[in-house]
Amino acid sequence: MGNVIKQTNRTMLMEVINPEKPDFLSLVGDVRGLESLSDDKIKEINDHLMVRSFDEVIEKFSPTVYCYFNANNQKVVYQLDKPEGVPSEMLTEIPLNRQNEFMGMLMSMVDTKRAEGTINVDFKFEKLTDMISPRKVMDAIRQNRKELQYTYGEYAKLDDGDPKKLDIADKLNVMFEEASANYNNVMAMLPLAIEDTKTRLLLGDKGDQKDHTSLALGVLSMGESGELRILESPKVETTVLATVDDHVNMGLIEALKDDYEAVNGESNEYVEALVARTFCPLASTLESQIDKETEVANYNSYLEFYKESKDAFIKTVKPLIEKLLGIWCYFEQYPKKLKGMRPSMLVTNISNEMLAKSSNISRLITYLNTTNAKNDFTNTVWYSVVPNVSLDQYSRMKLTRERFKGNSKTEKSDVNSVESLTRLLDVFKDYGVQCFFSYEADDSTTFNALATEGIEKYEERCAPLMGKSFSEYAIPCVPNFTIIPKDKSGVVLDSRMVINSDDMVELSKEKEDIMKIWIDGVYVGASYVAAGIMAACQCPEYLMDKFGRANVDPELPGVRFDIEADNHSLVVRTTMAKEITGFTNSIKNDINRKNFGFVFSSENAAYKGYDITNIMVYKARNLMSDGYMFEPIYKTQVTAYIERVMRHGTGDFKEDSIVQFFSNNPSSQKSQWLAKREFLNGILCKGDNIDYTIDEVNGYCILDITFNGNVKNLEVEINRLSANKA
Amino acid sequence: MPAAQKRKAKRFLAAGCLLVTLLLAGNLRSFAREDSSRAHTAAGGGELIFLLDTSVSMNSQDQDRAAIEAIRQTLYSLPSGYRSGLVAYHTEIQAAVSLDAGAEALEQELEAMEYRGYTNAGEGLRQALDLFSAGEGVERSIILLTDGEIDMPDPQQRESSRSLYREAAEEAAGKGIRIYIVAIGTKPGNPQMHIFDGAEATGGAVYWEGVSGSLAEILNRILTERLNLPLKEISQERSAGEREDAWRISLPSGASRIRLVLMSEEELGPVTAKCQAESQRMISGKRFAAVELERPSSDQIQLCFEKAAMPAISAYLLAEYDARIQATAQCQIRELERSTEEVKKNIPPRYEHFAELEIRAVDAADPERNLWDPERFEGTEVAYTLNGESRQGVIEQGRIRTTIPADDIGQAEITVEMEEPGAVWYISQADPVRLEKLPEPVFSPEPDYRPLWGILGLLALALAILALRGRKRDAAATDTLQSAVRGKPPFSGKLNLYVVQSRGDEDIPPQTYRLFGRAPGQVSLRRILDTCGLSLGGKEADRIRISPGTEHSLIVTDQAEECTVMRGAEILRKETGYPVYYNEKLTVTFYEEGTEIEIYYKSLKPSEKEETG
Repeated sequence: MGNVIKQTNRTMLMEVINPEKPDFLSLVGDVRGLESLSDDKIKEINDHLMVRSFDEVIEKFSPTVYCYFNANNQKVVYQLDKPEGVPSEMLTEIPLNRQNEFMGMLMSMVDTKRAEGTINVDFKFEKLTDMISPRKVMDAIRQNRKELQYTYGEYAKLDDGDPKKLDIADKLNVMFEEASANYNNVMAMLPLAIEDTKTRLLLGDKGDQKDHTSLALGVLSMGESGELRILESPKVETTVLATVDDHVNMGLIEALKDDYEAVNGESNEYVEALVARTFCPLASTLESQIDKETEVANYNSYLEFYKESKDAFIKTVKPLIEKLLGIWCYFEQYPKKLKGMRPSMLVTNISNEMLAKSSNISRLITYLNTTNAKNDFTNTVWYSVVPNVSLDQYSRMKLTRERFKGNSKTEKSDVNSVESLTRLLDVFKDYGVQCFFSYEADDSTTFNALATEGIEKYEERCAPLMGKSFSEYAIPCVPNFTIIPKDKSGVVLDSRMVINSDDMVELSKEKEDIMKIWIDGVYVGASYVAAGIMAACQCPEYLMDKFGRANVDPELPGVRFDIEADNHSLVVRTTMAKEITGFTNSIKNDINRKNFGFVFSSENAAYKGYDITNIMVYKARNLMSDGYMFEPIYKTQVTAYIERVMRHGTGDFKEDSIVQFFSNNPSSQKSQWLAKREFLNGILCKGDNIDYTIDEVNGYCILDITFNGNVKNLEVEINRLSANKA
Repeated sequence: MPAAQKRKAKRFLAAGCLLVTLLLAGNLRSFAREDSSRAHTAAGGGELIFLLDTSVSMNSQDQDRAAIEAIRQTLYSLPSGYRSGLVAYHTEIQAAVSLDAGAEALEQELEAMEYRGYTNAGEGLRQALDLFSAGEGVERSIILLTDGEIDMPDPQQRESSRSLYREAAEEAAGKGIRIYIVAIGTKPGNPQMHIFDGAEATGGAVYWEGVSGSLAEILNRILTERLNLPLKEISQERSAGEREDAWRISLPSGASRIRLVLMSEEELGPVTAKCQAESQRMISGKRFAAVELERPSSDQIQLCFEKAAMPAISAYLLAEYDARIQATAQCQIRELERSTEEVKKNIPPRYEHFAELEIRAVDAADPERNLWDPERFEGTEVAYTLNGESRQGVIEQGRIRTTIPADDIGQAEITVEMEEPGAVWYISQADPVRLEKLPEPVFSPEPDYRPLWGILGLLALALAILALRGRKRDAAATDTLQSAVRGKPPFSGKLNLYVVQSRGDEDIPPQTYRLFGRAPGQVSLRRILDTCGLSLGGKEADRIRISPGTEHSLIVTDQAEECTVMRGAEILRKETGYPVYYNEKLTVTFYEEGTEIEIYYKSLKPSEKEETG
């Protein structure tokens, strides 16, 4: 007796991250004749698919975008799956990680918004979207090149053979490697080329204060009678500044050019000079004469090409980025510093539609039979996340046989059908896996949309999932989170360049010449955050951190923690920043009328004098209803927990052990739970109770679990048959 | 303008500011009242320290000294109940101005501020904490304006400053002091910087210049959103034909003091104000101007801008009222209506004592002037407490009237809280009002009859119903045991069918076939498949027979030739019955058509069986 399950938050994510990496179906393999998987197999699956942090996701799945050039239409093509038939040397792999500018920009946006606690309407999105413009890319390189120049200077100063010189050489090698990531890839060179051309063509341009004389670089000097004069400098590089720097910079220029040639088989002079100018700008700017017409044409075509390729990149990568941000948000809910029951996630890396196929679903059943139907709970799956569910409640799996010809509808290709969700739920209910699902994330499912349209839309969409045996395990999460709203997702890259009547180069002021790309909004499914916060609440250390040590039992998990009760939602908040000023009373009344769904709120609230700037949980309910109200999700988890502890503690529900389990003996499991009812995470809290009756006819033990006065039944089959067999 | 001239102009401007500051310092003191007996509303009183980073890097990040300008503007936006101080730090503390020193001293220090040295934010925060008073119930905050991370000449000093900063932030959090950090510079930096820990630890917030607005806007947001100061944004009112470079703004009547702050992103130029008040003064900055009025008598103020091109201006108003609450009570007695029964039985009447209370808010300096008289207060809801109990009253004709039962209370102690957008009320509460209880008329009591009759017949009826229900339950139990008594085991459970492989690789949705409730006997797999709408297996499926076994098992017999049936990993021998128990799996493969089905045998819980029934 005295069993405690130490892991109650393993989450299964039904999404593809990288199709090139092993997936759940191929790892589970053929299950003909198998009822469960071997320990080795489970270990192998964990090694490939189980993650405990966002960085581990990046490391294990290496999310990648593949890029190649199509010479026929002169366009860049991006794909998430590796294109077959394209030789590897023609293919560029772009890793999506924290260093990726687009990903970095979105993560900074969430961080900044969280730190500032500003709602969407007040947040200056454009300040951060600007991070992916060529100017900002150049800013980042400027920072790197300062360090490169300094380190190379230090290197050049030291004598050959000096041991310190070798140390600096190592450091330089690393820096060259990082720099080469830019110049061995023409796409990465584009923003550099754009900014470089712009700098050279607009040298002397001061924005509005335009002086219509072409620029001649000069030096400040004093005349015979002491007057100040600016003299045009000689074209030969004999200024003091140039000579001082030349020793270092000329060496660096040579080193960069050599490196470029070594890295690129087919080097060209233009790019070679561009690399040198970008990473070592001081001494090279006056080397060549500028051919305005060619350079302006180049600049405009670079910019056009950059815009098109960025557009294509964003369109391709956005769904994957949204998934990655979702996973990031899941892990963000649990503080990094805590070392308790850290949430873990098993990423299937296979599409929901594929997993739910009749031919594949038995692999999921066999897996869950191994992890959830044994008395070892290390790998038990408690939650699952199915984001991006189609808003069409009658959506079918694309692979389903159509028996009768129905109306054909245009369907989004990347959403999960309600049919596939239903199939999974039917399996999850047998293994006690609670499924957090959210609808397709776009501007129609945000906080703003919920605040204006109300909750009925979601209730209607969920109707086919209600009143079913699996309804208890289906948790609809609303609304989805907005990282960048659609209407604020424009990024101005730059303007086209023109040559004016004075033969001067200037940036065009015409509206049609402004190059702008639209990210079209970035959203994160609510199911990620919902699963993340509930997974965090399972950890007793997390609850102690929020409610103090005295109120939380250090051993028990948070299965009974009711986030809706008392002030819990004010204390346990998501890490997401508020999005809107709040829902109206009529919307809240609608939500409260039936207590529908796992609903987040963005409300003005204060706790202990501190203003709350995070999004909170307003409701935490599944789709099981008594006709009036939907049921809180904690009841399902407590029931599953009790069933598992009981199965373990009673030797698979032996009748005599069940009696002992519920006896009044102080060492019985029930007595131990009752002794801890004062704790926030007690399995039985104040007002709770548990009783049992034996149904002799059917051979069932029926538990009446009372939650705060409301009774929920749990039926477990008594292990009499096996005893007889033996 | 040549550089020398610019420098001169700058000096002139600085000297001008100083002169204005000195001239107006006297008035300022009168504004910063220190009346300890006065009860403040939550928003009207507090302590605020400006903590300014004056390291050398600020020379580039804050070239036009916008940070200093923003502090000045904030200083004059605060209500008079707020006390403010300043700590400026670089490698060492450059200046520390206590909360009692007043705006004059603060202005002098700001004027002399130089940006040099490193960034010792640890020492700065330490000094700032020491400036706060020790009293309780005061809202305390720090606004830290900085352009970056803690930095000192050597790593040891840097680490020591960081650790001091951390400790000080923890101490601040313990004392409920919140730190709001304003990150100066145009580029949003790394949100994970150490310096930002102060905001996180104390429940404050971080603002980035640019992302969150200009420095002046950010500080204004902190005052309204974080310190909850009721600054009211106002707009100009202009009649037809009026000058475009003049603003006319309505003033609330009865205010003891009014502050009007004008802000702009561009240079504001000279501003003059026309208004009648006991005293008035104008404080000017480069991009702001503040007007302070003491007991204004006119209901409007006119502001004239001398700059040729009017910049875009935002204006905020804060009115302060010094009010005294007056409460009066009129006690009454009323006989409660007696029932016919009571009259018949001559039961003595009961009396109710009640008091009619009237509450007014008068000007503390002129008790004849009722501050709630103006029409805008008519119908306003006001929160007040009566003997500690929270209540809500409505102002009607300049007063709140309420009637309270006074049977058990001897006095009424009233405290009023006023909340009004754009206003702070300093309220001196009324003295407790004594409630004189009027004597009750004497009554001689009569004997009391208490005939009580109980009804016991209903209880007997209830018992009879319970007995009937017991009989019904017994009958139900007999039904469920019927099939077992007959000797043939019934079917139980259900089959979940998954078509793993089909002709043409179609995906066929999973199906469930309920066995429970079927008549005992054999059933063929074909019948099960047909019921599920699956035309698979043909004649072969007809030869796979399933019948109920003992202990809820199924007996599966494979008599087909062109198929294989597996129980788990075991192939079933032909024409031999195999028991299959709950949670076991059968795999059936039909060779000819190349189809494969997995069948899971699952139990049905008693509640699911009821659903089926």
